[in-house]
Amino acid sequence: MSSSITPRQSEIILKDDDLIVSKTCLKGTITYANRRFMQIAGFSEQQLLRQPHNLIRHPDMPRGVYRLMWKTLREDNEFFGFVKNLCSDGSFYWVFANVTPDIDEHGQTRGFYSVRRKAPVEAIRLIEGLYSDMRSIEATGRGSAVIDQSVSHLANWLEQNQMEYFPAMLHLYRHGSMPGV
Amino acid sequence: MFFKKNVSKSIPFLRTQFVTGTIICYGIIGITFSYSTWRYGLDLWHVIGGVAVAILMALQIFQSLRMVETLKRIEFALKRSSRGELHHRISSTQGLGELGQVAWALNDLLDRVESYFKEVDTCFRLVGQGNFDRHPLGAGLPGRMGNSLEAIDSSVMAMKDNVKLINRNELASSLHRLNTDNLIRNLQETQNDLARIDEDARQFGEQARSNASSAQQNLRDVEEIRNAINDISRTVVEVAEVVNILSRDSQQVSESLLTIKEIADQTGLLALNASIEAARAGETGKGFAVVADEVKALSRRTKETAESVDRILASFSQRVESVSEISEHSRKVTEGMGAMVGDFEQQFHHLADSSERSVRQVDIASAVIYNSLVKLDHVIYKQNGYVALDGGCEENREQCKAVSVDHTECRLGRWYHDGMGKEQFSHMDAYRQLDQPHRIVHESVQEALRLSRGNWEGSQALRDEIMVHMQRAEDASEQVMGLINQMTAERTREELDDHHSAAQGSGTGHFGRTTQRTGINRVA
Repeated sequence: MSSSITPRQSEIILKDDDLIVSKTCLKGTITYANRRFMQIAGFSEQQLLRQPHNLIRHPDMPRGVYRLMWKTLREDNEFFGFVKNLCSDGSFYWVFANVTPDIDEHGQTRGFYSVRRKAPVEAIRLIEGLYSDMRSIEATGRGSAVIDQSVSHLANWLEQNQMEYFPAMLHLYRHGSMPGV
Repeated sequence: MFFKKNVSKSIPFLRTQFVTGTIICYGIIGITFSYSTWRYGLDLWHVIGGVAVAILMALQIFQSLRMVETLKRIEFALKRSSRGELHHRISSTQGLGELGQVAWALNDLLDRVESYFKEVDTCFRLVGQGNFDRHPLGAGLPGRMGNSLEAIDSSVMAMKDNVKLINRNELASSLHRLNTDNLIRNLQETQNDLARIDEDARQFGEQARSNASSAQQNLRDVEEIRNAINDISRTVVEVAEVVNILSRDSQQVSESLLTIKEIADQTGLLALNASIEAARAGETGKGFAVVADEVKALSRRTKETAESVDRILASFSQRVESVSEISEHSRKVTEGMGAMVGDFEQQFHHLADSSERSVRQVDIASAVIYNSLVKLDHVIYKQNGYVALDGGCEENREQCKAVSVDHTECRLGRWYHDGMGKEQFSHMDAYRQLDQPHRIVHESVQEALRLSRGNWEGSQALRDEIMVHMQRAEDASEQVMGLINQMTAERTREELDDHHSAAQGSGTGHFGRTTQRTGINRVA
């Protein structure tokens, strides 16, 4: 389904207090999407439920970021990241996503809970460059190896900024810039 | 109304109401249809109308049952939510209008509440792990929830500062503890060193004392030698005098012998004259000639004897001369020896004097060292007090035990009440003043330690009181130190004064008197 949407250079800007919420099962199939999600992405509930979440994945997003996300979630940790998402009409919107394992009352992980908020413009400008580099690395080949290279590029970038991934993303979200940059 | 007392419990649920109503409606439609057919015959329009109404009724009941089902889902979600399960949502409500809006409003509420709790949970879980950098994100959470997250964020920041402060204090306290532990150990080492030096100084003092008494013994020996040499010298001079007298006497004898020789010569001449006269007289003079020969022989023998005595005397005089030379030489030698023994005596005198000075200096050093030892012990006592106060008695049994010692039982106390302190210093003012501040140090530290067993963490007053006692201990301790220093200084002065007066007393150095006055034996 995602392949049928042609991306367009038209951005939808979120409002400051927008809260996009969705839930997936362990395999990433959408089990819930809130109304704001549907309004912004332009999908109906029927179009979203029981569909894989990568339905809204934008081709500009490096796969390395998702690799990092799944790794983090499998370790039962929360994931932070700036994500460019695709709308049904091909336009896009930037969010700051926070994905957490959805743990039930028996302590079992039953799925994932994703909350997305408006990403600050300065942070988007900064992260776009990084993502574009990662994508160029990923475009040089196929399979797992190039994604590994892409992830290590991200690691190098963090090392240059002397920060770890999550504090860096959180700082970028809160302040719109990297410390000392 | 039909229903009893308006109690919901007795009223059927909506589903039953809908189903019952629908059955009743279908019943009425059936009866109406049957009646009109019986009365007016089967009419196409009746059939069409009846079927249309039945279908509409079916749609109505389907929609009603969906509403009831959605309501039940809402009820389920609300019930579970009130049990704390915030992950339930109501989906697939399209076409249910107002009910759908209720469902979405509930979903929105649950989204925000769940997001809020996830933020709070994650934030505090990480805070629990010591990570204060996961700020709760308040965007998209309106009103109280957003404010609450902001408040939590500032609380977490305050906690972060607090933890920093606590960590800094912990480090400072660990460092302080490490420092104190090491300080005590270092002090104890210094104490051991001083104790060893003290022991060495005592041994050295003993050595110096024995040197001093050997020097005296040697001095007495030298004096005896000098006396003996003086005797010899005197004897030699007397011998020389006797020899001189003898020499003079022998000269007189020589002179007498000369006279005897002249007499013998004259007697010889007389005998010659008598012989000549006897020859002239002839035969009558024969007898006389015999006498003259005898007189001649007598005079010759007298002269020979006198010459022999003269020879003997000449040799005697030569010997007396050489005896005189030898005795002169002896006199010179004994005179030189006397001078040497005099120098020797002077040197022994210096030696004995410096030995005595050494003894004194060692005594002073000994007093200083011992006083330092006593002071160190006092410092260690206080340090033990600080350690016991800092860490409590359970962890610092050794220090607590050390602190519980009475002011008469510690090293300073023993020194003061039974030991060298009492022996050597009890005549001083400083000594008499020392006991009170020393007692205050012990009592104050012990009192502070006793107070520290209370709940001082929760009571400023108790903490202040502990500080007051320790301050008192420190003030008293300063006095103790000052008084010990004063005693040491006074002792040094005394020793030096004693030495000067002793040195003046010994003066020109008849050594036997010096020994008794300087009191080397007293010190020993």
